Amino acid sequence: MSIQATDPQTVARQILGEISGRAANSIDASTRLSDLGLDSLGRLTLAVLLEERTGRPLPDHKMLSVRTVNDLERLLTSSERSA
Amino acid sequence: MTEKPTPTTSRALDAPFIAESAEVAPAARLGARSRIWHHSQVDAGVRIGEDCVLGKGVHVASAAVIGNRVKIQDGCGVFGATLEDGVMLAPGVYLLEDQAPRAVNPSGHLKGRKDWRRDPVTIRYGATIGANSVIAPGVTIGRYALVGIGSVVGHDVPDHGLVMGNPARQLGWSCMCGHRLNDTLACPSCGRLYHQRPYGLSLAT
Repeated sequence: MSIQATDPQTVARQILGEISGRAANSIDASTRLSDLGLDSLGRLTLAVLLEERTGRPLPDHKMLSVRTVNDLERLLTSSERSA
Repeated sequence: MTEKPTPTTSRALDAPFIAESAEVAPAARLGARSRIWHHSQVDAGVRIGEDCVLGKGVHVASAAVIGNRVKIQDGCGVFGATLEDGVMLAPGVYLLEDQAPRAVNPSGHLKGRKDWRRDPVTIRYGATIGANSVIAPGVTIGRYALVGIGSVVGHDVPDHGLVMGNPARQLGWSCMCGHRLNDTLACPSCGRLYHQRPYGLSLAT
């Protein structure tokens, strides 16, 4: 059984690491999702895994504006606050 | 055996081609140079424009309207939809039109033509629907939108929208040339640039 983090930053980087094949600790806030090689299928996988692990929906129009890891972490934090 | 059009005059060059095994109703309208391949069926009341290709086993029904230069590949079902010019349906796509599908009405009789309300799909200029996707009744797919393979689309897609999955989600934007745009809404393949508009994207001028 894998241990899954709950804070937005760790969750985001853990999932991005799983999808891109890179070590989570090599991903920093300024990393762009495109630099991680995320294509459209990768973005779909990211959205679905984030929703599954955080239990909160991520609207498509908000995910569309996510370019960097920092953008993603801010989105997750704001959705956590509004939950 | 493969049948090929064998035109002998310039007028014959413009005639649509219908494979021997295809069934095109006499009341259907078929534009110049369009080709209907094996085992396809085009019902009465359907209008198909010029230079279209319907692959093997396509069924177009329920007064569907298809523009010019439309490609509909093998095994698609087009029920009542409007397809603007330049649309492509990859193999196995179904465009549905009944929001409340039932075989029988509440009194138990088989439903007929007047027992349901048409709510057809609209696919706008240049859009592509990926293989084995299903588009729900009433949905509009925007100009140059791209629907990924195996998607189930239940909501409208904006111009140049790139959607995928079941239920389909918007994951980005697609260029006129079919490639995915980068974060700055530029195409890494052809270099075209786009601006965000209320209805999706449009080319930067």
